[in-house]
Amino acid sequence: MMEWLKQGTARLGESGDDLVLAEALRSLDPASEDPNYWLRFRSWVMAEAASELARRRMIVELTVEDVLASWSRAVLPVALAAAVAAIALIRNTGLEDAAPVASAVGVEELLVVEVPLETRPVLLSPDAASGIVAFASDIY
Amino acid sequence: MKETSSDGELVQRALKGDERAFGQLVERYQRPAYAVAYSVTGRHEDAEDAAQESFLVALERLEECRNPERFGGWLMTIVRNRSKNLIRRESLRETDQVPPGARSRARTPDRVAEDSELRETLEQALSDLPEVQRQIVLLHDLEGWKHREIAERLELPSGTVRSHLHFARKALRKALEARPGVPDILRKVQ
Repeated sequence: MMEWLKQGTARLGESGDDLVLAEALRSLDPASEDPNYWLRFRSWVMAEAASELARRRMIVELTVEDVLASWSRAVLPVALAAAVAAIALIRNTGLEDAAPVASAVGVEELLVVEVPLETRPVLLSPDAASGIVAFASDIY
Repeated sequence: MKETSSDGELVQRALKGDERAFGQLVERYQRPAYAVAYSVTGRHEDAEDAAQESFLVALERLEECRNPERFGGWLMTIVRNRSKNLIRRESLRETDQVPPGARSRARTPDRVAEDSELRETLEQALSDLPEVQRQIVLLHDLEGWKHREIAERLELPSGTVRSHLHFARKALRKALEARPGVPDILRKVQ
């Protein structure tokens, strides 16, 4: 009978391991029944991890140039087409009716614009003496 | 020649999608991960699920591993949490408590009866231990981890690891001695 079972002491290895207990615990190792167990375990994990690993590889492989290139492939043709269309539109509009060119307008000009040439109030003119103002001046 | 890169190097390469590097990490930690999961769940099927899922979770969250050199400890935390979640989910699903006999693995037809008895005795004895002692005794005596490695990866003081190991072994021996027939089996194992 084993010593540790008789005396309640473990049979220890050089590193202090309980060899008998370790041996007994080995029966809990799934590989004790199926030698390929850990190989299958790893294979399953690797198969499930494949997509995530591929995603990570793709992120790393994409350089700044790649991003710009892929971006430009999609955007450049559209931008070019838009630019050509804009130029054509501007040219056509210019030929048909030239838009008035905006010019600087002074403050004084702005104040008198659309004001009748006769800037002096009619009521204050000598001809208006018989008007309301004249009447008022008679009273006061 | 077998490559012996550090955990940190392998993590850095796995971050970039290096399949071989991640494969090496799986190979390095699949057994300890299973042992920790088993120490929490007490069932082979659950331990397998929890351990495998933990590797996938670890890969998805690899950026969160702040110290890649301590990948092992970080992974074991994930394994413990996944295992506990799995038990919680199952306990919600199952209204009946799992009988002790059902905690053993699915039997294969050619399993030797003595091995089965030893396994069931061990499983029962392990299930009576506190979780931390189960983890430590499985990692040390089954997976061959050193005290220092266990202390680092479970984030426990080395003295505490030794103490837990001592008490776990003592309890396991006592449980095994108390089972009639088991000493004979162990003699054969020896």
